[in-house]
This record gives sequence, structure tokens and C-alpha cells, in this order.
Amino acid sequence: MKRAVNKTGLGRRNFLRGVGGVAVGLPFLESLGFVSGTAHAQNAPATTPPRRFVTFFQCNGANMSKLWPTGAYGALTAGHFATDRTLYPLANYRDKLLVLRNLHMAPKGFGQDANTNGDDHSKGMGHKLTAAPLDGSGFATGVSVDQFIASQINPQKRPAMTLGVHQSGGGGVGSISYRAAGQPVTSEVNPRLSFQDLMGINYGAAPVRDLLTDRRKSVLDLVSADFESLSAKKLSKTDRQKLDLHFSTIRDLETQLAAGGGGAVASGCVPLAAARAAQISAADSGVKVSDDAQFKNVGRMQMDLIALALACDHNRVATLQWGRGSGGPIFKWDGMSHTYNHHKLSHGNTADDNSGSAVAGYEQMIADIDRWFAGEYVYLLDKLNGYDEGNGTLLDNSAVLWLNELSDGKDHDFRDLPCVLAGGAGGALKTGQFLNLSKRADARQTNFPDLDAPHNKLLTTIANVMGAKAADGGAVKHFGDTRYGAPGNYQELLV
Amino acid sequence: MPGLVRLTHRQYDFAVRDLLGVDSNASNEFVSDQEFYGFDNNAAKLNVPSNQVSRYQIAAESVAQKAVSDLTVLTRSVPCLGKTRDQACRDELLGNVLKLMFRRPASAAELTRYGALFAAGNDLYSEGDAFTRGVRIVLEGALQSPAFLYRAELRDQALDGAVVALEGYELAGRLALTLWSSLPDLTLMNKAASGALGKDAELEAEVRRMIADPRSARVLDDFYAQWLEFGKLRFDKDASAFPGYVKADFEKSAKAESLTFARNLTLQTNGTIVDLFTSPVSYVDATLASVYGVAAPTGAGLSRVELDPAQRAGLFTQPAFLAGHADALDGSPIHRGAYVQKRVLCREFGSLPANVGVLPARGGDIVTTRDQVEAKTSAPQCQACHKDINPVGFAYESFDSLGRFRTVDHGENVDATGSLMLDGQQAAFSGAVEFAAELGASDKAKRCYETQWFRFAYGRKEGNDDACLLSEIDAKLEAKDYSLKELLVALTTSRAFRFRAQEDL
Repeated sequence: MKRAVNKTGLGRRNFLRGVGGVAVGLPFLESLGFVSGTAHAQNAPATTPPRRFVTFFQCNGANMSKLWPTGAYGALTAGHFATDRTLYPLANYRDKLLVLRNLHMAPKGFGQDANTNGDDHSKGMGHKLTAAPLDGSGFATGVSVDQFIASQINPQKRPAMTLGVHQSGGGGVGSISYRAAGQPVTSEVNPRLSFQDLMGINYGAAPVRDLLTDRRKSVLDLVSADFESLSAKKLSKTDRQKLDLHFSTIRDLETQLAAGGGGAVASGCVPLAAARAAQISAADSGVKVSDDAQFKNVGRMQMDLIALALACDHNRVATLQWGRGSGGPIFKWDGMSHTYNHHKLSHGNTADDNSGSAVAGYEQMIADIDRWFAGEYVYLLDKLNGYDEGNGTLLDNSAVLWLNELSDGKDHDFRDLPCVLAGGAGGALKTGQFLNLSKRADARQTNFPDLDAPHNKLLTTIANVMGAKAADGGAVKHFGDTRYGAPGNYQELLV
Repeated sequence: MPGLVRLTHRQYDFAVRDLLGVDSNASNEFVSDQEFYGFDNNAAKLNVPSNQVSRYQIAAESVAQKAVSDLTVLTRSVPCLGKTRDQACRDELLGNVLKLMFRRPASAAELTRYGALFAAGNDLYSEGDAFTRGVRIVLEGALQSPAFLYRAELRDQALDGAVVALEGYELAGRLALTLWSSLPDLTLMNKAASGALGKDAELEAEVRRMIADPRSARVLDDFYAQWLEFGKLRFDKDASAFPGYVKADFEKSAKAESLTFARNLTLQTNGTIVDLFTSPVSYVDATLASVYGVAAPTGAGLSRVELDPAQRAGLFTQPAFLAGHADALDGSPIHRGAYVQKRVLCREFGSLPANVGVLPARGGDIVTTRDQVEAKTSAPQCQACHKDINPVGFAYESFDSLGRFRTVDHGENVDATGSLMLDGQQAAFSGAVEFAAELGASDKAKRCYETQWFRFAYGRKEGNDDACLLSEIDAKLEAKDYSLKELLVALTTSRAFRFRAQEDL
């Protein structure tokens, strides 16, 4: 077992404590071999920070009458962000935004595409990042774009970070990220565990850590030998894939141990303030992270961790799923004091199973929820925008996609999907625009076959912008199941 | 069947408890598995996502530390730990621990490298004596080894056609994981070594020993919790309509009741599938007693009670089912009916149509919940499914949102009559007890129950090739009056369990 990484001292710690603890200058990280040796050549030249992709996913429907900016398509101005609009909190970011109208989900909802299983909630979740239909069990039949990109551009090719808030799992309607067809990735909803996954070891004192590090090296050395021994046996293709996936992560852990003597993120890379790290490490002390009252708290912790992972270049792709399809908390904070949960309000009904009665004023409640999510999206953008990477901020080097499960919640509509993209992706995206991606006069078609702006093209565009390649080594031509949606990029997004 | 099947998280926890005496519930920290075809232990889908690897690492370290702080339980498998901890004891430790954890004897190479790790442990901890450090680090390694974490069935010498007999140790591993959700004990390993498991009579005797062992209860609890969809039940109730209702207490009691009912029927009273659906015996505490309208028992825990057989029959007149498939104010015929069709009658439904909308509000002719449901689902396109869902749901209309018996709903008499196509014939019933009798008499219900166990025990959905096996199991069970215990015997002595289809390499 050869380790292809430079063994460095812990001088890294000095480089990384920049102003306010912010990570400084990725080139330093790479020259220290922090981005592992095997990826060293691929990540050169060291001076260009890599591009990152984050998905901020909101479940259920939105108040479509308040969602979009007021004003003409074209360059975004202050006038687009009137105070009553959902996107008002994003006003200061307008130069870095792409607000995209009239995307419709591919495959379509409402049974409009043949051979598509699942109800409209399951589709809204499962199709969103995969652009692939669901199987009989409600799981998507293709890889999701976050995992697709991560498997190509990430250090160690590690999977994308898949984080959630409130509730995860629970079948197709709980999952948006897929490592492969029928293989959903369960999002982690406990920030303490997300942090632990990132840091490897407990965020603790140094002396014990040296023994722990050496011990882990010895143990993993032996475990690797066990893997080698099992791999040498005659295995079926699927068994070998399964084993290799596991073994490659063992090797990843070994590499990280050798590189920094620390955890998943090398011990020196600590842009989180100690007090915040302590809070996150205690995220589930005395409270349940799945409680409604923890919704905002947990979301912000997860966003801090995403920013950490991206800034330290441990991962370049992350997904944050707020709640799950047909679920969600009862919002009782930041000026909201609702009686019914997000899903019920999305239907304007007192029951999830539509057996109740109408909720008076639910449209404004949904608008308030949407507006609240806009504020949380801004929290994420602020975090990413706070890192200076030399050629711009981390946000400038990223594409941060805010997507919704549905447009109109009552109807489970899949047309005119709420969609905002923030960040310039390293200069590739032509930001500062409000775009109508449909070419038709009546974009909101009732004639479903005429819908002309499938969302899979957005995923294709993002995959290409992130530098992912198709199986033949060329550009990605048609992300998702090619029976649905359309090929090509949305050129109007690109510089 | 895959040749490599990851241990479920429960199997991990129980393995660690049985071998080391550590009650870690490490799996609370593990990445949850998703459900396929009704269960979370689908062999082909169980995998190790990348963040799970470090969870295993942290769990291994924590478990090993706790294990060495009290070696009482491990000493039962490694007796020398209670006597002299010398080099010979080190060898005994390595041999026995790895054999049990890997469910097969360790190879010479494994013994060598784990022996080297044992020695290295001396320099790698700051507490404990040298021997203890060795034990600890060996446990850390073994708990992360693929030999522990995966069931490996890799013999590829085909016998007749493309099936391969499981070699003795492989079968022992499968038996222990299936019947105990854990590691084999030394008795089972010795039977594997002697070839006894290859002989029908001896295999059956061993299976019966394992079912009689207290560890089998875990597997029953796991099956029923998943088959009854405990994870999906919601017990939120309207506070003003049900004053004094405490969700956490109610949920805990209700779930415990149904699990105890099923477990006792299987293991203590030689109950049958029919009993599951029809028995009016149950196990209650004060909370549940008030649902049933019987006297609260004295003492802690659940007490056996004989309920009114005119009102109650089996699992589906228990509050876990009735209250869990209900909303905050009323019962839900659609949820109750759909559950029974899907999980008890194995009916497969397509997707819900788009824009289903709400039940009509009460008013005018629409008085009861049944009225609402009938009004909503009367259209022909709805009846395609609702002709099967509704009658079942209506049978339970004699029970309110908590599962309490009632004869009046919103001022009108409850109508719990229904008629359903079952086993090719129209079955009419009035109320849940009559419907339960129909379930008990139904071939479909029995076959469905067997199929659910097939999926759980074998970790896969039944395929076309399994039709014979399922028929055989059904025939065997019929000869034993559909005994619940005999189903477990049949599943673990079947050809499908003892052989596996050779996968394409």
C-alpha cells in the first residue's frame, strides 16, 4: 500500500489562520500536498481555485404570485427586488444572480411523460437532480448531477456532501441525491455527525490525537490488508463494485491521515471559530435535530459546514435538503406563527391527506415561508462570499442553485419551477440576469407537449460548467434519461 | 443473491452486545438504510456510503474501549481471559474472536497480521496493560474489517446447474444473522465444522434450538416493526379533542403491545397466521387499557388481557394500527384500507393520480367520515383502486382516531359494512371482527404474509423463480396449521436458504 502524498509538517496550521480564521489561499493548500498527491497533477495549475456546485433544495410548493422579480427580463436591477417579493432579501446579490423562469421539470409531472412512475411529490424530489424517471419503488433510475460532478472533480473523487434538515430518508420522496440508478444517498440531518464526517476525529486536544492518529494508521493498514485479501477472491461485478467503493474510502482515510495526521479535513484547516465548532459538536445535546424548533439552527450549522468543506477544498459539491417532500416543519419563528406544517400549507389544507378544510390566508403563509428560505439562501451566499480566493470570492467560484420540489403546491405543478442560481462559477456564468428560458409566447403551457424549457438542460449546463465530462470524454450533451427533456446547454447562462 | 451482503445496523449492534457485552447502540450514529420492497435489509442495496466508513471507525474505537473496560462477556468466548493472559491466551483470543466475528476460522495470514497488530497495540494507548491494549486494538481492527462487516458467500463450485451449496460456515453465518440478528455461538460453529448442518435432521434441530433461544425475539421485533410500518405511523392527535393524550407515551405503549402480541404468539403459544389476524388476546398497560375500555392493570410493563371478541380481533384492531393510520381527529379509512391491501394482501398499486385534492367538507348529506370518503372516491377511475381500499377501511370505522370502539360518528350510526373481492370471491362483512375472520380464511392473506417474511429473511423481493419455493412453504405451513414458528423453520431449512444461485462473475 503505497501512499503518494508528501508528508508535511503541521506548518499548514499557520498558513490557514488568516483574517478572522478564514482559510487563505488555496494555492498554499495544494503546494503542501493537502489536496492529495494523486490528484495533484490533475488539480494543477495551483493558482486557479476549483469550481464548486451547491444545491439549496426547498420542498413542497411556493407562492408563485410573489416569487418572481417584478419587471422586465434582462439585466437585474434594484427595481426587480421590490419589498413584497420573495426574492427581496437577495437584492444586494443581484449582480451575481441568474433568476430563471419557465423551466419545467423533466420528466414531466401530471403523468404527461410516458413510463414515469410515482406521484407528483416523489417525482418532484426524485427527478429534480437526476432528470430520470422513478422505478417501481419510487427511486430515481439515474445518478444525480451533484454526485455525477463530484465523482469527477472532487479530491479523491469522493462523493458529494449530502446534508439535510429535519428528516431524511423515507423512500423516494425523501431523497434527491443518487449515487447511481436506484441508489439514493441518505442525507445527514445531524450537524454533529456532518461535522464528524468532515473532521474525522473529535474536535479535541492535540496530545491524544497523535496516539490516535498512529493507532488509526496501524488499524487501517490491517483493515486494508483484509480488503486486499477479499478483493483477491472471485467476486461478481456488483460485489466488486460494492467492495471497491468501501475500500476506496478506507484508502481515502489513510491518505488523509498520512497527509495531515488529522481527520477528513486536515487538522490545520480550521476556518470555523472554536465557539461555533463547539456548538455544532453539541448540535443534538438535549434536543432532537429533527424537532421543528431546531429547523433554522440545524440548517445554519449545515451551511457553515458546507462552507467549511468548500473553503478547505475537501469537497467541491454539496446538497442541502430542507425537509422532505410532503413534509416540513410548522414554522413558528422569525415572525411566522403557523398552526399547520409546510406540506399542509402548500396545499392550503389542515390535513396532509387532503381530508381537512381550507386554511384561511395560507397563500401569505407560504409567501412568508418562501421569503424565509430566501433569507437562509442569503446566509449561505454570505458565508461563501466571505472567503477571498484571490481571483474573487468562493461564491464567485461557485454555482449555488436554489431549487424547489414543485411550483404551485396545491396542484403539485412542475412548470415554471422556482429557480435561482448564484455565483459566477469561476467566470463561466453570465450573472446579473433575469431570464425567461422558454421561447414561447405563452410559456406556461396548458398544452404539455409544447413545454420547451426542460430543467435537465440546466443540469447539463451546470455539469459542463463544473468541468464534468460525458463517458466519451467530451462535453455532457444530455444530462438525465435521454428519453426526456432535451439536449444541450442553456447558452444564455454562459459567458 | 449477492456474494457480499453488508451486516444491517441492528446486526452490528447485536453482534457487539453478544460477543463483547457492549450495549453501544452504535448504529444510532450510522447512516440509515433506505427501504426497498417494504424492508430496509435488501441484500443488493445494503452498501457502505463514504461517510459511513468513518462512522464505523469511530464506533469501533468506542466499542473496543468499552469492551476492555469489562471483559466478562468476552471471557465466555475466550475462557483464558479469566485465567492467565499469556502468549497462549493471546492465540486463543485471536482464534476465537476472529472466528466468531468473521463467522469462519481465521486464515493463517489473518492470524499473523492480527497478531502483529496486537503487539503494536502496546505502544498505541496510554491506558491499560499490554495485554488489554492488544485486545483493544484487535477489536478496533476486526470491527472495521470487511470480514466482519460483510456476510461473504463466495464458494463458486457449482453443483447441479447453477446453484452452489453454502459451505458449513457460510450457512452458520446466515443462520445466526437471520434467526438471531447476530453472530453464531460456538455451538453453531462446531456444528458447522462437523458438517452437521449439511444433514436435514440436524439442521432442523439446530434451527429449532436457535428459535427457542431468547435472541430470536429480536428478529421478530425487527420484522413486525417494519411490516407494521412503525417508522411511518404518525400519532399526532388534536389536543382539545383528546385531552390527556400524550403522544410519546401512547406511541411507545401501542408499539410495544403489537410487538409483544406477535412475539408471544410465535414463541410462547405456538400461534398461527390466523391468530395474528383474529386473536382477541393482547397485552396492555394503563394507557392502552383506557383505549380498550378495560380495567388498568396493576404493576409495570404489559399485562395479558382477554378483550371483547365482539369488538377486537388480532393486530388490526390494536391501537398501533388504528391510531397510527388515522389523523388528528378521525380515523382514516383510506390509510387503514390501503395499508392492509398493500402489506397484508400484497396488492400493488400504481401511482396516485395527480391533483387528488381534499375530502369534501362535512355538511348536508356528508355527515360521517365514510360519507366523505365515498363522496370523494365514487368516480370510476377512483374505484379502480378504491373498490379494494374502501371496504377494508370502512370495516375499521367502529374505531376512532385513537382506536377506541364507537358506534356513532358525528351523530350518525357507524356503518362498518363492506364487501370485497377476496380470493376470487366476493366477501361481505360487517365490522372489523368479521373482516378479520375473512383475512384469517384467506389464502391471499396467508401467501402475502409468507411473502413478506421471504423478503425480510432473504433480503430480496421474490422473483419468478421463487414461485415453487413459496408454494412449498405454503404447503408445509398448511400441514402445520400455519404455525408462525413453523414458518421460520421452513424459511431457514429451505433449498433457497441452503443454496444460492451462482452470480455472473
